[in-house]
Amino acid sequence: MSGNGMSNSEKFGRGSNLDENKVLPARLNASSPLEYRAFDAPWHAQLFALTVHLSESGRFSWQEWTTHLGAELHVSQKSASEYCSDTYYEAWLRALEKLLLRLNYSAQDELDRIRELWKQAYASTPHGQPVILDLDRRAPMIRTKQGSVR
Amino acid sequence: MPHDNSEFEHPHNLLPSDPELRVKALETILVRKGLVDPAARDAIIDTYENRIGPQNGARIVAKSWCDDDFRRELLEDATSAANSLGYSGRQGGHVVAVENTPDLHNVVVCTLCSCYPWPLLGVPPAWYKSDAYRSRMVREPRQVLLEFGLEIERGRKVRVWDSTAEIRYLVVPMRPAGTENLGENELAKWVTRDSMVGTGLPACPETA
Repeated sequence: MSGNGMSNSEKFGRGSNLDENKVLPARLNASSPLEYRAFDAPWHAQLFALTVHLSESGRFSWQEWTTHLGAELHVSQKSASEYCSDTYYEAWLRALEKLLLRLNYSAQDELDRIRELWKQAYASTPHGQPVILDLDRRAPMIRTKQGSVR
Repeated sequence: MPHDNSEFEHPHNLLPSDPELRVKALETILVRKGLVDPAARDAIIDTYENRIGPQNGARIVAKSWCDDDFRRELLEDATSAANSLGYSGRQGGHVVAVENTPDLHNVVVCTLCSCYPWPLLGVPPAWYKSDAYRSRMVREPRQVLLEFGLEIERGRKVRVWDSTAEIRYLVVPMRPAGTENLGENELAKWVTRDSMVGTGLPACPETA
């Protein structure tokens, strides 16, 4: 059911020069037709679940979502010369960010700020310890006008 | 006292990739605003990783091979037929079952994004989401099927179904010859995921 420990690049040959728009490489079809693996990486699963959950809670309709996803996939199709599931979920991530910005559930500077705080949390947490972002503890820093965090 | 140098070379956690950090940022913001319930999100992940998959669709197909009434119901109203076996839920809103015959082979694609009958097949495989599959299947289905190792005879028609957010398709493959003595549970093992998308055929579980 779950992953077999292979990374995306091993499984899909990320480093290859195949032009996906012309060739459907055999390796894309390499997984057994009986094998079911829902996600290749934890962040794919998290992003998928966030989106489904938001739509089910009525934040946007699924049709609205597929329109956004389709538009982003169309853009990535033109820029990427090869496919891997990271490319797909990166388009998914851009689509969700844009939709949430459009619906005013988030703001770009907020997204940038919290991402930067997560980056700092990783950089400052000793190896082996869980990385925690305690926004309440850091709240004064977040409220600061732009410049101090980035 | 033993001394581990590597700890000094890598004193901190490995920095996640940019998309990983952005997903974390989204989660943090949405949970904080009360828009996302972490428990509900985790339940969704568990559902698609462990509870839903092509075995659901396989059971439906196998039953349709053994039970003519069910087969008719499935072709008439697949959503209700799936519901009667307990398969319903998100992304299964309106399912249409399309049956392969000696004259017709069906295959499913989503040219817009990656619409797929989740309650019956789970999350789609990587190739289903690829640009190549999505753009080429409508243009040259026979050639793409050939690349999947499936050659459709000249006289047999190929019909491509384009899924949408509203309508999802399930291909009902033909029952393989030589399986006349098998029951539903045994037959379900023959029904591959690819055979329900139309890019493959049922396969003997011993050789698959």
